[in-house]
Amino acid sequence: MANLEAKTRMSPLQLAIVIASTMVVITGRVTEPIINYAGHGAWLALLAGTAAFYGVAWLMIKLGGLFPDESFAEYLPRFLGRWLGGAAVWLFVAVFFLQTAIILQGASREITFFMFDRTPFEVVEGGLLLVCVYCCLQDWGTILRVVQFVFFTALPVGLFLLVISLVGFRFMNFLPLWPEDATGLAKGALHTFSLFQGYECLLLLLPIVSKGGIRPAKTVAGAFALSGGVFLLGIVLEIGVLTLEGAKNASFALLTIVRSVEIPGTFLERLDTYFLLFWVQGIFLSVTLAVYFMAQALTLLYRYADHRPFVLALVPPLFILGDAAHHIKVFEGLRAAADWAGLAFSLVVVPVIFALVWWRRRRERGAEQARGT
Amino acid sequence: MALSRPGGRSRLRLAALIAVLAAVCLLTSGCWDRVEIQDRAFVLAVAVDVAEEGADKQPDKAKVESFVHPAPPDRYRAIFQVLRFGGAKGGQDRPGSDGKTFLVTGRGPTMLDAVRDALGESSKGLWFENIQAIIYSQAVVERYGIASLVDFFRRDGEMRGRAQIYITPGEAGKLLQIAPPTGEPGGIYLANVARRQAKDINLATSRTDIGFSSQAIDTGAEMAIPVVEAVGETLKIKGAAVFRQDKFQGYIDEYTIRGVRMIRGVERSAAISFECPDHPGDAVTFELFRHQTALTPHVEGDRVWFEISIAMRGNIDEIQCGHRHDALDAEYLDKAQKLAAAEVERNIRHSLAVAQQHGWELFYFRQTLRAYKPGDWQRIKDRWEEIYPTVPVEVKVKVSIINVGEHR
Amino acid sequence: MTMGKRKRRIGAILRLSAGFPAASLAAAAGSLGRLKRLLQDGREIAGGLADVADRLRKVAAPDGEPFIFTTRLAENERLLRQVYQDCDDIVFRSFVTAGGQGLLVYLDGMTDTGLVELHVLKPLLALRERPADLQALADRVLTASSVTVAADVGNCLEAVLTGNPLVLLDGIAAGLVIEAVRHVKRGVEEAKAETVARGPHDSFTETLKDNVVLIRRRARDADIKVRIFQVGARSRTALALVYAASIVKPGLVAEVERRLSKIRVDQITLAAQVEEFIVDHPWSPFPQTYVTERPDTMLISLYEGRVALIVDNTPHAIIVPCTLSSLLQSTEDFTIQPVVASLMRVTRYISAALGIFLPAMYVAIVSYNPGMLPTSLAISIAELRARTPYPAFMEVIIMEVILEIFQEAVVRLPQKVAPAASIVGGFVIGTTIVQAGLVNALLVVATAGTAIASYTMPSYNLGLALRWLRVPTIVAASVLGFYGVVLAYLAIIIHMCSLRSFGESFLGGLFDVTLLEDMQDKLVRVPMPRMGSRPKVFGPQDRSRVGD
Repeated sequence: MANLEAKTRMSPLQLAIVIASTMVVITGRVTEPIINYAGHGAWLALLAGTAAFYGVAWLMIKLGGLFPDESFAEYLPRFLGRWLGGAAVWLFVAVFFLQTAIILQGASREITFFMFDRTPFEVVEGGLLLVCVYCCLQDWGTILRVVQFVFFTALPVGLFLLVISLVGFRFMNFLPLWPEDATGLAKGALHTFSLFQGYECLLLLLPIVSKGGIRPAKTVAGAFALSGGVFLLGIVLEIGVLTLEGAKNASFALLTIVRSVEIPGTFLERLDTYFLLFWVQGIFLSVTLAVYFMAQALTLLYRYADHRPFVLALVPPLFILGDAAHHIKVFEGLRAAADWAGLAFSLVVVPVIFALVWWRRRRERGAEQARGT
Repeated sequence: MALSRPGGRSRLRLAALIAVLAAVCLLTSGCWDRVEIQDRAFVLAVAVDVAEEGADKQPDKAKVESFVHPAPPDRYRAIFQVLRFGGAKGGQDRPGSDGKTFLVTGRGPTMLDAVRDALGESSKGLWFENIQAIIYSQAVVERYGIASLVDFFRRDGEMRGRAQIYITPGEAGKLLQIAPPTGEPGGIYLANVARRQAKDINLATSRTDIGFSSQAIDTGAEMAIPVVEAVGETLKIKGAAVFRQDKFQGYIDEYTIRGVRMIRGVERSAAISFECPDHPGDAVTFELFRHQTALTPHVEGDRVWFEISIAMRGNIDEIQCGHRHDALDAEYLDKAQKLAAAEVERNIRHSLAVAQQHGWELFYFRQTLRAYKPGDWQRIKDRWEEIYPTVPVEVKVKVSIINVGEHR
Repeated sequence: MTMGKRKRRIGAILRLSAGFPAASLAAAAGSLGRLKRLLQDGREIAGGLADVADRLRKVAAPDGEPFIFTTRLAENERLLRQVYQDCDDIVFRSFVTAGGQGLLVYLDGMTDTGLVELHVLKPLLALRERPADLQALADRVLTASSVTVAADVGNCLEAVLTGNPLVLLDGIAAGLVIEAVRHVKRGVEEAKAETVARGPHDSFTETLKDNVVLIRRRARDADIKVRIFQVGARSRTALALVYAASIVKPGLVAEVERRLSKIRVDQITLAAQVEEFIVDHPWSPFPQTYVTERPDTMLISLYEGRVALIVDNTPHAIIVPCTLSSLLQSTEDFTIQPVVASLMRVTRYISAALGIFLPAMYVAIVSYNPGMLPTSLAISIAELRARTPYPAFMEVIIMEVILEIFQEAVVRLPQKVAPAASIVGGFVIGTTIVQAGLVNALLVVATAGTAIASYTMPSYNLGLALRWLRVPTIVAASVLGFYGVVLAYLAIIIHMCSLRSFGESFLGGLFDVTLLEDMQDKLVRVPMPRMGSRPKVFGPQDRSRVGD
């Protein structure tokens, strides 16, 4: 039946919410390398990472500005040639794919550990994936609304629980503020990538962001500020409550912190399950959006009309990979692969493409001017 | 026949088949982790002793606990205090049960083995989410160290970081047989006593639960874990056992604890008695309401010293020196404030002396140095063990009495 | 069947047929066959004859009409009587007027006979000279207020069935339809379901015309358009499409019309039938149209840019598009102080959530995640549960079934007996079921809380949706505990966001940042002077409520 609404476009604010939703969730052990490398300077590493990856996001927005009505999956094959462009799109898909497999595995591991005992990972993972697929099979208008709904209902509660956990914060644990080891700091900053992964979807979404009003660069900065703030809160909590050594040793640091909150005589105790319930919704957002982005990138690349077949094609391998990673070694390997692929895409591919496009445009303009004069 | 017919009918059947399969899946899968709340044995407290002790002392029981691990050898004898549903209706059918709870015992080379061993005595699976208190005997912590004892409780997903740890000089299991006079189940009693720590400065139960102990073990900090003992028919919490780098060191008394807690600044209320300004030998009690405590490290070249400055505000709560008093008299108040401050300082000095004499680092000196003077700390951290026993401490105490109660 | 039995039966048949020679059997079979053929032929001939007669009658009649009027009154009467065969409530009254015979046909009980006597029969009987044609007759002679000349038989037949009398005159191949409907109907009464303490008490009735009057009386605005359609191939039920032309979202009226035109059914007697035909997802448990019995609510909706449908014979208007937040509003919200109304709105959202999830949460906590409870609460629940034999899932199902049975019983019983049923159900069974140990007291509280929460819904159908959704969430809770509840919650959210009632997302608008301005009348309600714009979600052409 005919639908009366034209929801093929989104506002810059919605773009920011989508970006924040892909980033905002901390899965277990993601902050671990940052704390390991940067030590007490983890907060600084995180801020540096936020700035650096916002820089990449800014480049992506500029790149999108050069191709106003096309997503990268459409202009790259034309610009770089079919094979090279296709490879770049596939790298994008691979980054999301690996990261999503890790999120799925990490989440199902954590949920199984804290909420279940004998229930297999597969069931926990499959249940979540099922709901994500149900959401992905809707049109973008619906997904966008689901994202906003969950974002505005789950995130504040999750944040509230984290803020409540600040009762255990001791400033002395958090000190000293300034680290001595600059290389550790840099390494830590590099490892913040897995926290921010997901903003690459800008390349895909920019053409449907409506022009006018606030500029996307600003709203996306807001999204980075929000996510960076949440991550900062996480790291501050981990070090300030558990001490640096404790944070290094804790497998599920944030949850351990939320678990230990107890304000006797109030209902504010045993908050970990509540926290998990809202955290699961964050995971749901990340996974749903990631699956949709992968499917949509491939849809545009191969010029299909509908993203749904790709969703259905992507889900079984995702499930299998997510499940295979339940061995800690495989998991770590997968994580390294995801990080390197993502860093390569963000720090190499995107700047190189941007430089190429910019250079070629300038040459064209130069030629035009030469012709004109 | 019908399945081969084309059209909606066969699709309907397929849907029905899927629905039935799904229902079967649901019903079977529900069995993985579905344990009704009443089918869980609420463990409220655990007491851990050295494995041989229980067996030696209860030869008739040895038959029940006869299974001995060939290797690794049994380490622990764990007694679990389990809640009995329906209050005291069940009667006194088990030795040592107080009607509200009953005890099950297990032995094993690890805590989990002991849990599994104890399951033989329980019709329901032991469930640790509501564990309130853990009591270790001195013997077991001396032999195996606190880190390996805490490990099970900080590793397992069911455990709560807020379970209190206690040490007892004698046999830990016996303490669980004592029914608290309040009528609460024993474990809850122990936990509630610990919760009073903000009010009672003599209790060493501040930051001594599983979570904080785990942190202390990770950071290598000393711990003062409260001691619980059987006093007649009831339990009493008194003094603390000091651990250093996971090893049991010795005991400190309540007076020392009070000094330690004043330096740490973790109390919210305290009763501090000092000699009456007018009648030496009689006591006046000052009740603390609010305090500002700061521990400041100072490093000058190789010289390290600390400054403790405490500002306290509170009431005069009780005066023991007969009649004819004007507590509102400015001179009297001034004297009282000075005397109270002197008492606080004396207490602190006492605790410092005890701790420094043994080399126990109970005041976060090291952490403070690391946090506020990271550069200097890097320089002196290898020599810290030598520096600490002689590190000078400057104590500045100021007490303000802001109220004298209902009577002058 | 055993071998022996079978042999015996075959033997009996053989013995029976032994009395007849084989030849005569064959002859009898032959005759029987001939008889069958003859009967068949006879039936076919009869059918053919009927066809021919039909075709003869319909000769020259246009498509869809049974016949055409002739100039001979007797022939017209014969044809009419044929159409209205066995309709004993149709009255044929012959009379003589100037220049010949006349015939008055009307439906007994639906026609105002007094009016017909005074303004039709009396002038006709007194007529001396016959006017040139029917139009002249209508113009000069008949004093009735609305008279139309109708030449097509279909319209005339329908007019008679609507209650309008038909006048035929000898020598004229057309009829006069006089507007004179009068039938039994209910007066405008107080609203039954959507009552308010302050505010208008009148509500819609079964009569379409009266309902339109209730709207018109409230707004002297020519911008409010009322278009009458007919749906149902046989019942020809009238249906009014009402909208505010300069406000309504462009394309919405056309879309509603398109969907109405797609209704293929013989009869429409309930508005709910129309509803099911025009919504996008008829399988969804959620109501996708807003249904109200209050004319004021409908008018407010019209001025929000929505479209209303009034179906004849149903005292409720259907309003589209419909969103969850509009379902959770009540007229009461606008008669009480805004701050109070806002609190009540938020409460409704919470109770909607509780109405779905409370039993599931009970199952999840009791069977999977009791660790969420503070120790003292966990202990007291465990003590309660220790006396019940069933797992929480079974317990909840038992309680749900009992609750549903109570609700059905109270709804079905006559009003005088219903309180007795509530007492038996509520007090007797409710208390004793706990004492018997079938369920525990906490669950009774939870279930009762759920029921009460679903009763707070301003929309009855939304309450039903909540009741229905409880079942899958309980199953999810009993399979995966609280995790299952969250997955079920997400699935419900996705479903609700995917529901589109004429383009509007059922739930998605609630937290849509592009619709932030709508917050003034969504989760909360701001005071009227601050509510300067119409909800963006319904896409009105004119956003501003103030001025033109």
